[in-house]
Amino acid sequence: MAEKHEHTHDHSEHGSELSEMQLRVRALETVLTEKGYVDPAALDAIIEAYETKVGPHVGARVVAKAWSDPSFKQALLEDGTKAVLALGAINRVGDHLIAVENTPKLHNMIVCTLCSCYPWEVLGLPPVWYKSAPYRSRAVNDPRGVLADFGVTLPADTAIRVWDSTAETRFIVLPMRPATTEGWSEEKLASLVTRDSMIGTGFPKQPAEVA
Amino acid sequence: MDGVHDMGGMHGFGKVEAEKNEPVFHDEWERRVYALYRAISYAGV
Repeated sequence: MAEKHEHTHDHSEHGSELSEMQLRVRALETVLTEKGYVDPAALDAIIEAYETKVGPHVGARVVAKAWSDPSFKQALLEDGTKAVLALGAINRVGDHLIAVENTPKLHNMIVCTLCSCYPWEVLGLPPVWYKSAPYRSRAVNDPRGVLADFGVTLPADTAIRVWDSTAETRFIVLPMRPATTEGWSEEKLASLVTRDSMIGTGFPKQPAEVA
Repeated sequence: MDGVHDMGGMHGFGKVEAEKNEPVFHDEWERRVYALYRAISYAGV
């Protein structure tokens, strides 16, 4: 018996490199597939969508269009959900998407102090730090300190407004268009728009960084 | 809501640590679990 016991724990002899978590997830997927609740091919399609189709590049398109097209910008600020759907965003998560505009006098930041509410349809899945206790706790009472963690410093006379997201209402920051980008195409402008600039924990890239 | 999940304003959690070039998923099992979660939501499970 002792010999058998030793053998069953020697994973290398079985060629199994799966961790306990991988085994659990595989078991869960197998059960759900066998019961007919999920189709593994559909799972592959969902993963592909979130790794390639839904992400900050969608939000970057929205911001670049707002920078280029005053009527779109007005529509975005009036009804973010409607404006973004009109652009063909593929995944509507929240009931309301609200775009908040940065100006020289006002900087906006978004957070979900309760959990991880985030504008998936324009930014994809949230990064780990967005869901972390330090960000959720401090964004609302020490936003300048949080920005410092990101290496971001605002002028002292720029006010900061922090928006707390919910399951029904998500926010996206419309950052300020960098100077010296007159005449740039929407596509080129979109290359300046970072994920963090749409959360409010960063700025768009400078034109020299993408030239 | 006022409860343990409402972390706004709580103290003592330290610095925000952002991962550079963070991938959408960190491990293969995260991909599968996320897709399972979405799929069973659609299926109404």
